[in-house]
Amino acid sequence: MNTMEFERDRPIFLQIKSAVKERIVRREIKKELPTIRGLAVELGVNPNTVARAYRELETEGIIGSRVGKGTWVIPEALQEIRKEMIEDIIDKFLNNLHSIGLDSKEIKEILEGINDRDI
Amino acid sequence: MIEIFDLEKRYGFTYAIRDINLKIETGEFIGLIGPNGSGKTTLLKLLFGYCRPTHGHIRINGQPPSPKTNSFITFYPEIDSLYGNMRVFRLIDWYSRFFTDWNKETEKKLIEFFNIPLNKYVRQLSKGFRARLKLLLSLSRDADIFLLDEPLSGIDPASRDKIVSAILREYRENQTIIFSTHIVSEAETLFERTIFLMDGSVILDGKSDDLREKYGKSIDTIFREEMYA
Repeated sequence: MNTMEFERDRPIFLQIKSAVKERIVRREIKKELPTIRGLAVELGVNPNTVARAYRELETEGIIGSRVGKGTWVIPEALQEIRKEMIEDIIDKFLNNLHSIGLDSKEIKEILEGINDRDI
Repeated sequence: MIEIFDLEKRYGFTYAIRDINLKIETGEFIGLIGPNGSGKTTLLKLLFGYCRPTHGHIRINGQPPSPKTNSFITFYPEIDSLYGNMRVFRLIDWYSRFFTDWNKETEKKLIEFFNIPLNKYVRQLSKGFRARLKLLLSLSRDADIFLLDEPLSGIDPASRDKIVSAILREYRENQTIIFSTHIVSEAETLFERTIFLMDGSVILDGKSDDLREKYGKSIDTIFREEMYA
């Protein structure tokens, strides 16, 4: 995440949220999250922006925190984020295929073709 | 907390500041942006009591700007007034004695972080290193309010990166920072809230992420479109 380039035309805290979720799914963050200040310095953003992202992740039940004990991933959340990300990827994939003019039948055929290949 | 009521600063017939009303909570990190001559420096000077308003008033933690409020405010001036004929370590030592809230630990950390050459004469320093030194002098205090006037202008990219991360490292939650700049693109991710100044007035003010969401644009793009439309 340290080479992360933000899209400046979208709220930064939303991008930090997605980046943290991605790191959780990739298992780059296993339990403990970086400190707010540590992540702020790493990303070159305001600590309050990181704090806002963490706050929302906490409300969504993805992370937990306690003063003096840091911030950690809630294990049950992993499957949930994973599902969410898979859906996102599939949505994008289908949208791309639709946008170049494929209909549902053609897409199904392609998907069946993938089954035969090594995945 | 900083409160500004109906603030006006006029020089003869020229308004440098006009009709500004602002409330800045403790702990906010604010980008004060605007083109040259929009009143950024004047506003900071008014907060530091370098000049007096011609109308309206300012309250800092409930008091008007005075030596008393300045005891917990640090001002980073854009203009460089460091004595060239002093060696760097002497200058730091001499400067530190003016303040009761000088933090020797922070000073040490920043000397190392900025690679400050202590034995050189101040006049031998490049512009980037003078800026680093100036910033060291401003950040080494345990002040509550930091007024930073154009800390990035005219500085090489390497020093800029250093300056930005030093500010992010040293800034504490109970400290208020007002950071003025006309170079928005490189600093915009630093600002939790952005205040746009134009011809001495506030033309836009909001949480940076809320503005990005509302306009679907970067702060830099909003700045260019609003200011130069």
